[in-house]
Amino acid sequence: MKKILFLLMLPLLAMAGPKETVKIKTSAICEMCKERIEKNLALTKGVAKSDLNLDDKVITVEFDAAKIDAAGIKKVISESGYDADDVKAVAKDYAKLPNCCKKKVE
Amino acid sequence: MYKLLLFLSFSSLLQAQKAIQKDSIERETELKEFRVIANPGQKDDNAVLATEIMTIKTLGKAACCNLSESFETNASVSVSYADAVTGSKQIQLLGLAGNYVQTNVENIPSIRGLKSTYGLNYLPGTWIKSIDLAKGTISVVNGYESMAGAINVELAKPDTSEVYYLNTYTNSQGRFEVNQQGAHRFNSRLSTGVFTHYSQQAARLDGNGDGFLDLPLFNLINVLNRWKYATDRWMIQWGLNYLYEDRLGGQNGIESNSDRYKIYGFGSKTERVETFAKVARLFPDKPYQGLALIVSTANHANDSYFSMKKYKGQEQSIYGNFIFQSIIDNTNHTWKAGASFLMDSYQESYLDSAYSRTEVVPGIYGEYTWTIPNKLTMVLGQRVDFHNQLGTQWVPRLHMKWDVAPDWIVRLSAGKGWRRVNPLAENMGFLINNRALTLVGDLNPLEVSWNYGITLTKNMNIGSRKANLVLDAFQTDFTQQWMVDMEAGSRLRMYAMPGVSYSTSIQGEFNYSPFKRFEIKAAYRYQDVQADYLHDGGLIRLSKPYLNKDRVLVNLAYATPYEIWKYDLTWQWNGSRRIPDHKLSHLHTGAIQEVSAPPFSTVYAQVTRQFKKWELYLGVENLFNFTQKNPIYVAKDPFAPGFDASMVWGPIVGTMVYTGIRYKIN
Repeated sequence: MKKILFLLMLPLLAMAGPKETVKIKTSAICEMCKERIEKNLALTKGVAKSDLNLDDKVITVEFDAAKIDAAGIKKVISESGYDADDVKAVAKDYAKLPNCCKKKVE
Repeated sequence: MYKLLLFLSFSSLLQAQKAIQKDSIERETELKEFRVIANPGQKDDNAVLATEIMTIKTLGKAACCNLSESFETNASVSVSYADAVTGSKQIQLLGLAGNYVQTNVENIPSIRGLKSTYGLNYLPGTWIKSIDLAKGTISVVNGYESMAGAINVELAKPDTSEVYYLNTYTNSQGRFEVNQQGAHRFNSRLSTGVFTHYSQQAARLDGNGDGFLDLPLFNLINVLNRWKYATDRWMIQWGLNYLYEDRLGGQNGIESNSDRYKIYGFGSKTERVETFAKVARLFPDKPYQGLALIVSTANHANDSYFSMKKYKGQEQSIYGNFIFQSIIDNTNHTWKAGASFLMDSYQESYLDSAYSRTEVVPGIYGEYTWTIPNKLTMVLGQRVDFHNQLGTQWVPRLHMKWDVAPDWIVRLSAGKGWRRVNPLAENMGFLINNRALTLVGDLNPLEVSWNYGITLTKNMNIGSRKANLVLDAFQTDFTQQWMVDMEAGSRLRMYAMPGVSYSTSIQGEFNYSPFKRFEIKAAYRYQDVQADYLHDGGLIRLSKPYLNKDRVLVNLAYATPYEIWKYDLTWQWNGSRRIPDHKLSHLHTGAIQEVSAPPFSTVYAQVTRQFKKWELYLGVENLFNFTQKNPIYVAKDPFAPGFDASMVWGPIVGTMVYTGIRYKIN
């Protein structure tokens, strides 16, 4: 019974204070990239919502300023293997991306 | 252990150098995951055989420990304890025992011979990448032993596995488990993986108070090291698997082997070493052509006692299969041909008798596939095997897939299968009673059956959401079978099938995703399994015991966006089933009222929370705490006539809560 209560309580922990919004330009290419970045952000503490627009590659992130800031969010994106504004993708993580998510060689 | 640590630190040093080649295989696996999401119910619409695919995603729904626990959300396969003492689990498909299901690991025959006693418990869940399940006979390329169906398990591959993976599991019944896996890529061609498993049943559990442990205490160590070398032209894989298991069960007070004359004890020690190698030659300019050689060896040793009764078994096995594949004119006509070789040497002893035999089975086969693209695929296979003891056996098989309409698929299958019985290893659970084992008449260990099946698949949209419906019917007719007869209360008789023996199975399954990330599966299965038994000098037709005619399975799965939370609920309802009358004087006659076990439900539920690098899961099995009240007859006096732990029809243990983590370093 205790365990069931514990489970019911867990989602409540996700609730928090005032939200801020930031827009970040990424190097995402396809649906798979969008899924990957949004998922990694969703798993990040303080991020409430994110939506990547594949037309202009800009991701809109809603977050709790008490828990994370824009730099932290960019770090998560770069660790997912993508550029975030001026922060370049982490090479090691970029290497792990599936082929379709890698930038074409110009 | 030290070696593994060394290996892991070594691999992290080299991690920076890791080449940029999460290539097509990686993409393929990701695409597969996408396909699964798009296709509720996980049926492979391209396969000629109706194939159910269980991916990591499905398997994760019930955090399973080993292969025997991987079918909780599957409607076709039932899993049950073989008896109330050994803890051995057996599957059942189309109303037939797991012995009639050919169980392969990466297309190498795996759970057969002496391994069939506990084989399903011996494949750790975390090693499993996917499970393919086909009903009826399968391609002749894989041999002659698929009679009721076939299972092929794909394990994690060294080149696509995580650098490090840790899984733990603990449950309220005192079982815990640690799985560690490490993989390393040396360069674009060579990779290796080390998979380790350790599990233990540490607590003595006697929920029903009958003085017997509900589950045996056990220690299981299982280690696999596998290698892969892949280029455009060659794909070579090889590996070594070592397994050791120690079981101790029986009455509560049992401490060791020496107690077994005073109180009822069961002990079993198993040691097994397997090796395998697979070599495939590819032709980049002729993608339709291929050459493959599969070789495997196994050495199995088991030492058991069932109180006074002692059993010892050893098996050495060598298997080889050579396959060539090409086309006639164009890819609408493809063919495969090859030769296989099996040598199985057994040395067994039970009570004061010793049995040994060596089977040598060379075989040849050919298979032709005719394809009319998007309309019809037909596979016609023939194989002939030359068994040194059972003679020449011919196996014809036919599979057909007809795309009736864009959303309608009809599949037909017909074919023969055969196998050689291992009477002791396959019926180990039946030795845990005080019945007198009687072998009646001239016993031929050959079993032969014909299987016919039809499967209809309908894909549809309900509103804008996908759904599918699968209906199938399979008939298995034995022409030769080894019968195990428990109908006479004081005896366990084995004899050659004296009359008819058949199984009819009909199943309907509906999969539907009413909204995003929510999936429903509902299935109903009907089985009619009957055979003639020897009775009073004549024959009597009875339904096979322990099998329920009706079964319902409902599975609900919901995930929050990005699968951060995953919820899963499975409800199984099993109808009533006939059980042999256990009264000592009893001999079944048509006039006597049949004894049957009541219907029962079991519910499984699980919640998984995903974090960035790891996952936490918490689940419950047998939520309504249903158990068979007296799984052991005359449990208070195990040395008296009537003692019987082999009459199991339902769950032995009640509600169980489990939890664990999965941690990954990519």
